[in-house]
Amino acid sequence: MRFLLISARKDLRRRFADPVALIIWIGLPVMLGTMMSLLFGDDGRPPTAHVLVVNQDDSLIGNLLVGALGQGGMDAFLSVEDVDLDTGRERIDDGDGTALLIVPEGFGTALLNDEPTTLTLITNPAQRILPAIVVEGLEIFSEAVFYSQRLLGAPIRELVDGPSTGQDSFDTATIAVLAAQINNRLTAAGDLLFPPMLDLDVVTTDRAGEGNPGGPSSGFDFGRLFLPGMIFMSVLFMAQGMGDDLWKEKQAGTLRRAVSSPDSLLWFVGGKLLAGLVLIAMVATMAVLVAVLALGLPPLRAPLAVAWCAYAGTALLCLFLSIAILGSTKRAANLISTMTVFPLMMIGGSFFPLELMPAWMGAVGAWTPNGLAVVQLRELLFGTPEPAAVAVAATAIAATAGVTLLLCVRRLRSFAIS
Amino acid sequence: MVLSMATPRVSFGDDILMIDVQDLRKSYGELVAVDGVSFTAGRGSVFGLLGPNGAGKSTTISCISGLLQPTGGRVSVLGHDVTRDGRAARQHLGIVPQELALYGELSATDNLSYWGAAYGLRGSALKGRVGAVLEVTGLADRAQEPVKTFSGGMQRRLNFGCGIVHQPQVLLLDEPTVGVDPQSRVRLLDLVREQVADGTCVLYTTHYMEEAQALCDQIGIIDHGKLLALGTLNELRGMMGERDILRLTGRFEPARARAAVGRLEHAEVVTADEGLLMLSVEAATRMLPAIFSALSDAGAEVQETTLTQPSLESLFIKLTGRELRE
Repeated sequence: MRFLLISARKDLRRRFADPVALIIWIGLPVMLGTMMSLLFGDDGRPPTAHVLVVNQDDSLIGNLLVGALGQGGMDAFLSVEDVDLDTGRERIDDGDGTALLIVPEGFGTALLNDEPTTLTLITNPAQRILPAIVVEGLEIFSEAVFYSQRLLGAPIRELVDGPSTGQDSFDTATIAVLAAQINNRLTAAGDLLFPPMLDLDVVTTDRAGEGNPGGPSSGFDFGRLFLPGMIFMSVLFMAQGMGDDLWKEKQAGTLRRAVSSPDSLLWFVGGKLLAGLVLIAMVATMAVLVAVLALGLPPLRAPLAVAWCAYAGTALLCLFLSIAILGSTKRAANLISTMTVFPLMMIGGSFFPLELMPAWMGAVGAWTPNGLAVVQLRELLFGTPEPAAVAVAATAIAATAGVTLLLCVRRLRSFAIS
Repeated sequence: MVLSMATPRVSFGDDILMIDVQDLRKSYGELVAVDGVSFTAGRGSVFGLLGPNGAGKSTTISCISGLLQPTGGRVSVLGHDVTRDGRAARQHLGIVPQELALYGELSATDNLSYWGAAYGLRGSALKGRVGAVLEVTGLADRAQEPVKTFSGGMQRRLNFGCGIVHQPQVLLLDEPTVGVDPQSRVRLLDLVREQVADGTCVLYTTHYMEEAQALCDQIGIIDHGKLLALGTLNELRGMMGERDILRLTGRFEPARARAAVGRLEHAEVVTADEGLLMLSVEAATRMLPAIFSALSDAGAEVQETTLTQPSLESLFIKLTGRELRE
């Protein structure tokens, strides 16, 4: 046990002797946060999609559609700009804009006459999340337009057709009739529409942190979606960086000396894990403090979140220590380690939130070591962690760490002399 | 067969066998790296393993230190079997590996403190030993500087210091002077002598004959994993008798050269090929004319002649047909 402590102290001294690496590690979450913030805006609000609209249908319906896009609730995530077709094409090809919406000529007429018509949406391939938001939003919007047409199509058609021949405008009686028709149809549909039988209620799924009673009001936004993954991206990079330490010890000759010392190699590796735990806790403290200050999270959530990061990060270090010694050369070890870290980041919720992945991938990602950690970190920071769920995640992470640690220690002697 | 003037099990001083190696074998599949090596060493003595690179010296040391698991045989340190009671055996061992084994980013003090603590030293005892080792290795004035800023010789001395900081009773030195400048080599050999004077048992591997002659009480000559000869320096010299090694280069017909030399008294062929002929000759200077004449009759053309007086080197040549540094 004492060998563990002195080994940890030795490794910490080695780390502190290289302040540049430490600064990079500590700065990593801050840098990633800054990059994400620059990418999505630095005011903490959800990102806004910029939609270029080519309105080739100068009808009332077409104009109503384009006008409605940038109003009401949709202006929260859509900004709309009218452009002509060539300009729109050119700009979307240059990556300027989230999507290009083309309203075809005759759109309004076709809609009123129950004829098929198509809105064309060209998305920006350079963006991933915002175009998806636009597609989802427009699909809902299209359905709303369709059902409005089914309900109020006849009176609207009459309005669009204009007054009878010889009249400049609708007379009062006609307007009254049309108004009565609209009122009757709405009244007839009233039992179905009011109170609304169908309501769009944004609820967070299990993976996004179901239920948030008493949770911080800053709630589900950019921070909640991305922050836990970003923190574990830093932790993964740290674990990978520290994972090659056994190679450094091998190349320095100190690993052979350690193998010949009286105490168990388990303590020698344990020292590396303990040192790693301290360093990961330092970086996690920095990241969580920034999150607390920037997102207004309750400070009392910080200690548990830091402890969780340190715990899960140390388990990841176990994984990378055992992976590193699989390589026959340091270069091969680095390659294996890199081939591990990036898929883990991709599917474990560090690059993209699990919620934005295809369902099957999100389900797999949620059971990776870092995925388990990210999901619970989100609960610890933003939601209400359920002890049973935390215990399951902690056990799965501990099992991963235990197995990889045993494999590492078993192979270490032959690794040292190879 | 091992040529030995000593009994297989030798005890020194207070009759405690510090190192006891019996029929040690280590193989890697078909390759036999150590093949039935046996020797013992006692307190306050230096046992030298002399042999060329790849002879099996480092493998032997690795088996004693617990780094490698022997394929067969038995190794014990102060009576503790290194396989069954490895922890107790390793507790008494100090190791100075052939390659440097240091933390370059740490200071000399930190390196010594870590390895001292790894062997159980703590508190004032640890501090005292670290200070003492820094003094004897001549590194006290650079004690707090990162080791990576040290010269090669200084790093070698610190490497040695890390092996002795916990005052081991058995010290394994694996070619500690390879690549060391002459001044540092002298200093290192002095350090070894100081350890021996304090009662430490030293196992010293080298391919430098001079070091073995200068340091070792007992010497084992090893090649291809086998111990070819074992004894004190005088005993080994005695194995050579008064025979010199005569090394001739030129053009030879090996069979005819062997036959020609075989007809001479007091001369025998050690090795013969088309470019090199090595002979073991008694009073070689007097025999030279007869040897040249016989070789000339056998169609040989001698271009260069080297005469080596009886020594460990000549014994090695006699035993293996090769020079020590080949």
